[in-house]
Amino acid sequence: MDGQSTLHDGCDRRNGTSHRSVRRRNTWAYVMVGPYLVSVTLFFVVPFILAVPVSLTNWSIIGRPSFVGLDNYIRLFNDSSVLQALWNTVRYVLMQVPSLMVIGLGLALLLNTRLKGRTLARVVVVMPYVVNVVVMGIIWRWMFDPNFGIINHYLRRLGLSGSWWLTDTSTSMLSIVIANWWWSAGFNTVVYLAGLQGIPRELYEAAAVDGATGWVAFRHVTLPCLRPVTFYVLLMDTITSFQLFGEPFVMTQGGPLGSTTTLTYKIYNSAFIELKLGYASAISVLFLAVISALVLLQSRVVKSGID
Amino acid sequence: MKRAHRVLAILVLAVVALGVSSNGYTASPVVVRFWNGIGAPEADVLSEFVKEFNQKHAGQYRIEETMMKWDTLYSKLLIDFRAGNQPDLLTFHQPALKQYSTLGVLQDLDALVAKAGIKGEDYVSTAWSGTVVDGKRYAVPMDMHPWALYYNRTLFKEAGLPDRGPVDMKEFMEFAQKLTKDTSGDGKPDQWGFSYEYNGAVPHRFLISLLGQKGKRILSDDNRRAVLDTDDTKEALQFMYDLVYKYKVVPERETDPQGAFRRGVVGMILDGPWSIAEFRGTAGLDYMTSPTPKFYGQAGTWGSSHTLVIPKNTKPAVQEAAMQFVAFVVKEKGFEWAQKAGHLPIRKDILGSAEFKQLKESQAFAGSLDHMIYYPPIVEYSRVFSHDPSSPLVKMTESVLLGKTDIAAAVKRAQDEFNAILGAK
Repeated sequence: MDGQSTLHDGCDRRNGTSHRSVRRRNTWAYVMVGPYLVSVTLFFVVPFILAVPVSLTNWSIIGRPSFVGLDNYIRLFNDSSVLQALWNTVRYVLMQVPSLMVIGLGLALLLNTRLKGRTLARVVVVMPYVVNVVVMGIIWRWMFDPNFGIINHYLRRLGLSGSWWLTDTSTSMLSIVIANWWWSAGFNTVVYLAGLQGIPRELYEAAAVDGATGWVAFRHVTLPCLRPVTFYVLLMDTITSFQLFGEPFVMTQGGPLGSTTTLTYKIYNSAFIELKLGYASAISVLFLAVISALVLLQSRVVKSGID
Repeated sequence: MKRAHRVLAILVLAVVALGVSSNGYTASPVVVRFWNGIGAPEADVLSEFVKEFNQKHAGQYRIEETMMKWDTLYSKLLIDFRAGNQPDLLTFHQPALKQYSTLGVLQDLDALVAKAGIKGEDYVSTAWSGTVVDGKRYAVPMDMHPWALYYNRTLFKEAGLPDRGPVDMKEFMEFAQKLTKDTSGDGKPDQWGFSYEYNGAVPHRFLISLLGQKGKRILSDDNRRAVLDTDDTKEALQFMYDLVYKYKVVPERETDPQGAFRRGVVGMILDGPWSIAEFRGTAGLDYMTSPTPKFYGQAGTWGSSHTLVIPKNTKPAVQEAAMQFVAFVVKEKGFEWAQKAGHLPIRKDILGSAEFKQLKESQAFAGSLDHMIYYPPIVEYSRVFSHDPSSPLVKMTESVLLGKTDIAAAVKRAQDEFNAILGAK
């Protein structure tokens, strides 16, 4: 980013934080974070490290694992269902993340105005987020039902032919994306709303003095100030989208014809349906490699934008 | 400030520690940890049995019930067994017995069953012998659930049909076509004669039923080889396909036939007795059951059993307590299980009783017991007879019913994949 546009970004967050209380606050912070760190280590980090040796074995959970070297990894790259699951996952992330971010920001901007019934609207937007994935999945499965669902019913009333939604390989994943707009946009909205309210009013006043209102103010004050929030939302959405499991599990059982089988679903399936823990671990290792590479890339790109 | 924080932190930890230690408390009765995987609303009936048993044996035994989904139950069992934390008793499906007994998870129950006074001659032989794997008893059957035909009496009356289900292929097609109607006049049907799912396990259950009626199986007699690439399979699949696309008496890509049946937009479905409890509670639904029609030569319909199993490594005293509960359920609660949950009793005296004959909806199922077709017992059960998209049978039926693959290619591929799984032991 060149100096010129830095000048145009009206957002400067360098404010004087008092350093005196930082250390005391840190001690207390460790106490608060401690239990979480312990549980993450025990139930995530340690199992994950163990997954690497397990991925070199054949193991049905019961009985002894037998060492097979890199066999699982070789099979992995020749297994069309794993490659399909990888593609399904990437396709989902590419559809879900940008759309969820735009919707979240849009709703946040709307709810940040002095709208009548704003408080109620805020509650309504966030409400779906607290619904359990099973409940959400079942509700949307009913609504998407191609023959008797409410969505096709109204589309047909409008003279449209409706869609196969969850029952067609070309629209099944998109249907899950749409259901997620309703279900999880509320989270992004809350985060963006907090971000919007953290933007100092003076910046807008200063911008207004310079004649910048409306779109120009949004482009040069709001968006730059939201950069850290946007980065956070992008990161969280990418990670959670990569882990898509509950929605296909409830709505499509990975079908039709495997079109909503994601990598996590495939891992679950290999481990607990096919009882091949070694193979499932190999997919997990591949999955982690893909996700880490992407997050690293993402943080580089976005960080260079923030600095 | 600092000290106050530290005191607070210690207090918090102390409360957490107290909370954890209180879980270690055990009472004097023998505790049996029981996993109930039965779906709603029948699961509640089993819970009532647990409560009744606990009251009856207060101080002696206590069944601690945990309800969970079937999928969770099966995967959790393996992990908890591995960790030495398995339950003492759990509900199980008959077709899973071969796989889990081969894995070495299940306790051989012959001695315990004899000690508890449960006698094989009191029970329907299909169910009793269906729970024996390789000469050993690994489960006690609770019920049987063959498919039968549910029909909507209101729609039947409107279409001028008799108050019974169709008996053969000719009648089935006639009924289905009369029931399929365009009531709104938009040129498209909004009421269908019959319905079944295009996805998951239902299509291959339908296929197994149809093949059974032709006297055929999908596996060789020794259960070692898949036999799918045959004219019989192709004919049966073609019939399933034609119901949707040629005769158009089944809604395309249906995923919830039970829901459609409850709403009165579908005249007939094939389903197990587990739906009785739900249909009975549906206001405005006037339905009855009828034996699965003979589409081909002989009677035959897919079915399964709920059973109770005890995992290995449970202490003898706990095993005996668990078996006391099993005996209570199968000996004393068979009728209630049928009456309240809709599942078919397997005790011969209950099946023959006047009391049971009063349960009108159950009779079609009872009549199917002698020609019910279990899934063939194979170790690879979960990989093949599941609703999962990786099952070769699911791939075959889905691709055919979505019109994505022609039938000859689909059966050939399914046979190859199925054989690869059977050979890859």
